[in-house]
Amino acid sequence: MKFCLVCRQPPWEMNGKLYKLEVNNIEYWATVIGGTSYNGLAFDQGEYDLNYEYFNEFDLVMVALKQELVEIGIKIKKQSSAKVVIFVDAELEHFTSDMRRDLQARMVELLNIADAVAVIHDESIPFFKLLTSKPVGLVGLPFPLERVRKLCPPVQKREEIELGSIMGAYWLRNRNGLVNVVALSEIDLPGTVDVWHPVEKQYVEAMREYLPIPPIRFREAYGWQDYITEANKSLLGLHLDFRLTWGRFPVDCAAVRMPCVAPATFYTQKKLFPDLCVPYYDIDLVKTLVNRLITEPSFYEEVVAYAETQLDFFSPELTIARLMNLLA
Amino acid sequence: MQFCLISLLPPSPLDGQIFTHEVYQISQWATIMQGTHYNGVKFDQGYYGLPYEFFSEFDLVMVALRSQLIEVGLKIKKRSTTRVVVFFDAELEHFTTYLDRELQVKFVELLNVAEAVAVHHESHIPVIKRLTKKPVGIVGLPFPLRRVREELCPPVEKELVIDLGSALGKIASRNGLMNIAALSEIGLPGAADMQDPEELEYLRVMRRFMPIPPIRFRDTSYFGSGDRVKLWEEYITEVNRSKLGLHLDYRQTWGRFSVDCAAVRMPCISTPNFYAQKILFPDLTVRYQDVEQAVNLAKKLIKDNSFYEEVVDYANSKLSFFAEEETKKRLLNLLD
Repeated sequence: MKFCLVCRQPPWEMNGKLYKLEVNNIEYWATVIGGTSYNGLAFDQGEYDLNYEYFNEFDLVMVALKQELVEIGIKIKKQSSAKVVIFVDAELEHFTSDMRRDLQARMVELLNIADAVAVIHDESIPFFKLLTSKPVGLVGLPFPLERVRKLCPPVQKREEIELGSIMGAYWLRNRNGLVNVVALSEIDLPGTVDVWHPVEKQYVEAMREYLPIPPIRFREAYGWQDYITEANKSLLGLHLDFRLTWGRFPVDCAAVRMPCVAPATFYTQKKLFPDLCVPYYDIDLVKTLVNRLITEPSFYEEVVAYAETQLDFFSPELTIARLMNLLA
Repeated sequence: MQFCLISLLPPSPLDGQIFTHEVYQISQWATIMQGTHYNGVKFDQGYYGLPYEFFSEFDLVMVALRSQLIEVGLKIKKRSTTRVVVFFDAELEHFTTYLDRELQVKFVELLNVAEAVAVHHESHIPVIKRLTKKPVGIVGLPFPLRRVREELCPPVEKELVIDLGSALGKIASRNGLMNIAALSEIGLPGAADMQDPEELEYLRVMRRFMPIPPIRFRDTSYFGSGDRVKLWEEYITEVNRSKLGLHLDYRQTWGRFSVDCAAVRMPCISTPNFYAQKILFPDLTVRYQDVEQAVNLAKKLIKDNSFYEEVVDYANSKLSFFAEEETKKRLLNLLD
């Protein structure tokens, strides 16, 4: 099958070539199907010097939908003969509230002219089914487990909590990072997190005047491989996000054999760590669960073992199978 | 007590005078405390020609907090002798995610230099009380119940129309598309505030693909231009005609719409993210993404008159919690 992903990942030299990249992000779709990828905005602006008829070359185009790609998805469908699957690539609230209103109307059109709609949380299915007569189903992101298991052998874990988000300097890097910091203060174990800008350290330092924030080891992010290799050294993951979305972080945690405390608004958290699901604001419950994980090795091992039994669901094979079933 | 409210409400000739108008907006705090109001951003820009020391004249200043008023709140506290209560005027996520990071740091400082922090959802408390050593408690927004019941909204014959807490909107949408999706499935006409005539065009496009029932649009939006007091009076008078309310919002917040519905004696289907909804309509509380359950409840309310009356009666028994006296008491207890 000739496959093309159209997404918002920054343009780079691999665009248009056969993907081999194995990472836990949207571009892994191009790798697992043996296809390629383009940045949708750059494509629309002519940066690849290709017209929309170019998509005739593909059997299937996956549009990783955020508001910026609504019009581009419509152009692909209308100006080429490719089958188009819409991959819902943001939290549900992005589409129901944050999206520009004219684009909401256009999105409804796109959902109806596309061939199928792949969602990332089972609880968003009823909503999308009301917007389109096309098939809607849970697909999710494939995870490069084999590669991660090679990169991340079992190691002696550090007494550190891996935070899914900190108070990021960039808008999109902040996913309730302040709530993670609040919880960490209550747990009283050191934290660790990737930073994207040195100013993030200053934010935490300034808050220490009022909050007993434990030491946080800030790592400079050099890419996903470095991140997952470092995450492997942490004892457990914590991410108190409020968005109704897929949740890549719990899969990362499960893959490196550590528990993750997060809300059930992450589909992956419900699937992998049902006993560690908490409402994002329930700091007392977070504290109780983390203390239990630290003081009860059998509980720690039990939740990790359970997650291990569920990891297959995220494998490229099963994820592709869900996509193909949706299109069948 | 000399009271002053600082908010983002547009400046008006009433600013600086004793507030007397009764509407279900943040300004109601100035009214029930027999105090006054200033727009915080305009105050900071010198629009009123007053220095921050001016606030020393007040016993209590309430800062209705959103991102734009964090610096203003700090200046009030640092440059005057007044007591300051921080009143959360946005959903929790506004402060934990959407705030600029520099402001998040100042936000934590403000919570610690103020005298108390008034929140509007119990789920805020576990997070906020860890950010400050100052008292944190649920206070909420006072509702002008007597005025609504006795002056504006007598019992009327309800029309078979579903009032939407939000439609698509132009300036702001509160999950309006979720409300419209649910309405399509319920199949009854809707009514909603309209922020811009463009919304009709959006609906026209969507109707090619979705069976959206007729929606009566009202030009009574809070975000519209014109006299906001008059707009609110028209809004609540119109809401009174509807059979039930529907608002599938995702924000962790107070939820004024649920109180509006209870006050005009109609059920409201909404989410536990609205604190008011949990108190008033526990049997009609659904997760915002659970459109199927919302649709089932709407159909049950239409068919089952005793269920309809039961939930309205229950809400009625809880309404005093939202009235002026009780709300004021919660504020004063927090400051004790």
